[in-house]
Amino acid sequence: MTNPLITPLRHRIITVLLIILITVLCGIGLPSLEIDSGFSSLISSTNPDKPAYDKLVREFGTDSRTLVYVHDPALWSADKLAALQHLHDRLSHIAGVDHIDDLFTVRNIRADNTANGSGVTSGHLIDHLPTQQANIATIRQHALANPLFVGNIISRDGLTTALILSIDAQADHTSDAAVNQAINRALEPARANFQRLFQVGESRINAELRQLLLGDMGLLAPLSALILVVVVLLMLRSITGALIPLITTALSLSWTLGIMGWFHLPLNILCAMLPSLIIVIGSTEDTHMVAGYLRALRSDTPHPRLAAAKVMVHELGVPILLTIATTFIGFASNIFTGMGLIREFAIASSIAIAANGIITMMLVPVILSAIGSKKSAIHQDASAHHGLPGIMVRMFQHANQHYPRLLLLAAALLSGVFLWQAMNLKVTNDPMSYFQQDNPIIAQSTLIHHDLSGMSMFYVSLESKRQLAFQKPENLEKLVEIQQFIAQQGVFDRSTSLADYLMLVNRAFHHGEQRFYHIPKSQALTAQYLMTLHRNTLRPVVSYDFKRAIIVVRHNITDSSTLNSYVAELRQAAVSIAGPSLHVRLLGEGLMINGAAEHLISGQIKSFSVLLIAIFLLMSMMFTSFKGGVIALIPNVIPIILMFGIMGMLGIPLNPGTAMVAVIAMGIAIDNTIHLLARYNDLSRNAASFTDAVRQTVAEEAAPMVTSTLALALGFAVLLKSDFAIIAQFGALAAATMLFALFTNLLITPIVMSRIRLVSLHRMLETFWQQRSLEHSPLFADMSQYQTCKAILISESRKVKAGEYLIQQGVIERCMFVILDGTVEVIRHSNGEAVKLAELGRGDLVGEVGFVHDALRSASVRALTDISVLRFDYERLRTDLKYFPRVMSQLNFNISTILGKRLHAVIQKLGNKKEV
Amino acid sequence: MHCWQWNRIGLLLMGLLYSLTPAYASEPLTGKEIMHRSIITHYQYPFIMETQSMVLVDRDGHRDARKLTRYFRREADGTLKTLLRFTDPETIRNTALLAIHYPDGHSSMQIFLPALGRRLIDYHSSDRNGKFLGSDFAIEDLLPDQMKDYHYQRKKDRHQDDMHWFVIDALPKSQAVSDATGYTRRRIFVRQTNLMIDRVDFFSDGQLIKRMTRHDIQRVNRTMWAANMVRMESFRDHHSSVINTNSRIFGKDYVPASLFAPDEITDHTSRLPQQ
Repeated sequence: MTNPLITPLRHRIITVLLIILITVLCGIGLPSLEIDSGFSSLISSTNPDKPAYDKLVREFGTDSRTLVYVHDPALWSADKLAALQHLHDRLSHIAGVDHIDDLFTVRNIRADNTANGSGVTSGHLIDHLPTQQANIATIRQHALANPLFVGNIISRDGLTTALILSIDAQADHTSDAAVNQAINRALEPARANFQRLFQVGESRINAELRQLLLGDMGLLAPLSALILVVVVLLMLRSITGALIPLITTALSLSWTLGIMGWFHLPLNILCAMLPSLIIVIGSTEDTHMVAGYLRALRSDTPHPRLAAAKVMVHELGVPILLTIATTFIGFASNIFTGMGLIREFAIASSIAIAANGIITMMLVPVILSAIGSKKSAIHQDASAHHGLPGIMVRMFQHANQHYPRLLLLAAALLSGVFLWQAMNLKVTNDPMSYFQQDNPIIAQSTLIHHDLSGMSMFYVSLESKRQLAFQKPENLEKLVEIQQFIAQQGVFDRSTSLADYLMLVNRAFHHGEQRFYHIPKSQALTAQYLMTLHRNTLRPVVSYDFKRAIIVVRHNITDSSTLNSYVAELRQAAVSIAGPSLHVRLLGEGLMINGAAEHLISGQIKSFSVLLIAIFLLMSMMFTSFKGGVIALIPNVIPIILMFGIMGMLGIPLNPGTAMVAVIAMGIAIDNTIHLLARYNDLSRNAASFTDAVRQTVAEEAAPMVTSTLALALGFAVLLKSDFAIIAQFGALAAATMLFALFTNLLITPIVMSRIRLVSLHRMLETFWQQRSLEHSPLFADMSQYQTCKAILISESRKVKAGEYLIQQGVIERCMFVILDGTVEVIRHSNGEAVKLAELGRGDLVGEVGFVHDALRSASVRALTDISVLRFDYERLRTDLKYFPRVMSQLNFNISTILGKRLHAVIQKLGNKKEV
Repeated sequence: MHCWQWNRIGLLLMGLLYSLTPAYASEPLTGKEIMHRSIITHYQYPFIMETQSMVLVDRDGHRDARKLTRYFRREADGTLKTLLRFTDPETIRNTALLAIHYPDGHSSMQIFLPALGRRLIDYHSSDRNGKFLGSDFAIEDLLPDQMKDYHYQRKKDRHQDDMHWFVIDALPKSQAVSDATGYTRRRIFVRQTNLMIDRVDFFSDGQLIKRMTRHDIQRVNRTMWAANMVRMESFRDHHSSVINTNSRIFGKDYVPASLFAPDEITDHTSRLPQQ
């Protein structure tokens, strides 16, 4: 049967033209590629709070705020206030800025005891710019006396103020990037006026994430490519070998980005590592292929490149296809997560891996057959190792030959300890945690939190079915009680509700006496107080019909675990305080984003389970045994446990970046296991024992495994240079996991493997064709194709040259042979005379007596032509077919039949002799 | 005869005189003349009682409706007294706002919240364009212009369909006036047919900040007209207020001086003049 993977080599021009055509088509889609650095993809699509949140934002205004931080020791001077107002004016004209809360827009209500008797003054805190310092001092005093302003728009020392911009970019048909640019432009002229001036908000975070994304893609990809070229040059000493991964990566990226453009899949921040990942992961297959090609090079053939390429495809095609499949499954497993960010990346990376796989399988053999090296610089003896790989291989071999039990025990103990450490794993999904700690935005956010209140906010929403519910004192008291609970929690910076406004008004109407800073005693008084407040003042805290009220909570918690636990505590308390008449919800974009962190865990479990099942089934199918599936999983689950343990130990949180490490690393690490098992499967057919086969497998595979793993680890380590903390963490963990996987594959896999015999599917398929030539063999009479294959796969194939002996008379060996090809003669030596007993050919069985009975061989079997035979070892057959009793019994029956016939023939022959 | 009666007669005579003069005089009218004619034509009565509903409309279109009675009294010395007494909803019933503008230019405002006790509280607006009780109106917006404080510049007339307007820009004479009102300019649209101001645009530093429009303009007498609906739209706040006048009575008996006395205002059990 023709190997379909050879097809590109048979039609090289068509293959190249096809790849060019696809590349051009994908290139057309490139201009449509979009970049998404927004927060919406951080929210789980299944979040039930989303509709309620959207409704709340429509009613109470957006929680997307940008805070302009202004600090100056002389803030309360006419010049500075004038500069501040100019800044306010510039900011208020920016498209997308819905409104600004600052010293010029907030309304104050206070007791005015300077009037005759007493009075109340209401209005903007600064309605017009004062010029007299005394007036300025009075305004400052008023600002600091209002608890709604302090910590919100003005610091306790009065030296810092904030302009809080409510941004609704969509409403003004603009973009976050445009808003951010406009804000920066507005800030620029004011920088000279103030000691410290900066802005932090969603638009800046989005813009910076976008900038970092492009920067990362520009930096990481060339760095990865450089490392790859160096590693390949060192390992294979082939310029073509170094160029090939670059070509496949460039094409894969074009295909991927083009397809994303066509299908409007946005490029998100996780995609910053996509080029590096393709370079790193894709190159491993390329390297294997180039190495395979170089090994297969023979100078004595007429077309050495083409011949070597064909051999390479024949030998490596299936394992590489399998590794591409597992890597693809690894990346695709993340599709099952609920978070858009990860899901979009999973789709993008799966496309990239699939594209890379197709390009590799189609193009690499073609390139090698056309411009591949004609001389191989790599060592022909795959089991001879030098340098670091050699030392490591010898160390691993020594360890798993001499201390197998100790190794298994150590692995189990280590896994246990790390699993325990993994319990400390924290989860976070806060966008601020995506930045590196040295990013200015982190320091600035901390400063805002310190001087004012945290930038992050959420709402405690309370809803009644009755109109004017939140004019009733009992419900207002509930707001106060919940706010008191929030204060007691001690983790949130401040909370604001309608109750605060009413307490302020109540105090103002009672000569400013602090003892009247409480909720009005009656609904009527509340309603009358409310007349003194403008609707715009109340809009952020209560609905127009007073059926819904919200408590605005500001904080600076960036750890999702902490936030989620305190929010859960608050929710429970709020529900309890609110009672059955009020429906309580805790809502906010930040809450949904951080809440999605919980989905990271469930998504992780789901993705990992899908991957485990997929790999288990794939490997079980590949090795026609569930044991194969289990063996493939063991050395790859241990590194994942170690990785989670390290995260727990070092406090690295599970975030959208690190959450992907497990499945991606496993999808890649399994490749080494596949190569090991595939090679072991081949070798175990011809080796004298399983142990020998394992030893030989490790000897042959260890070096490429060490080299490719080091290359992978280095490639992942490049991601440490990322400006995104989550990508750097991903890189570090993935690199570490690759190294763990190398250790487990070289230490644990051989130990487990040596106890089991595996039969690969492709070997099974080969055997299927073999058994077609043996369908008339009496050994397999009345056996199904599957049974015949299973029996054949237990055998070992041997080749014997013409004239050589297959069986030596007088020797004890419990095995028998089925002739696949060629003819043999059966000779009995007796009294120095050789008597030819029979001549046998394809399908015939020889040595069956020695197989069933532990006795000296009664005759020799010599090859008359070059022959191929299948050798059936008694012990191996007995062991391996233990779980296949039908096959075993049929084989035994057939052997009995053959022996019976032979006996009958011998008796007849003896009878004839007597008659003669 | 009381002083206010002479005032009233004088205003009526002047109104009659102006009404007999065609709006399109041979000599073009100045902005100041148009404003003067408009004021004396449409502010003829010193005692007005109106039952009104005030509707506050927020940026989402949600409405908050209140009913009230507005009492207006112009004293002989030129003091302008306005009392707004709310009648609905029940929770704010009898809440009152008393605004007094003295001839010397200063003004005062007091508020009565019945739920707080029987006392009038001085209520100051720290804003230049002191809007009252959550509305977009300042008390001054509902009173005739203090002409001595403004320069009036006539601009190009405006025509639309059958309607013709004089367009006048009112510019504060002093920074103090500008600071007090918060406006650097007002553009006033005066109907040429009856000298009724039916639109005022308020500007601050060149930016349109709010707009008042008058609707349902009804003839009161031969010369005087009055709007039954006044709308103020605040562009900065994305908020608007509408005052609908359901009934209007001109008569001293309906607006006695005692009505503006603190005891009368705070005694919400007292019998108030009814229509």
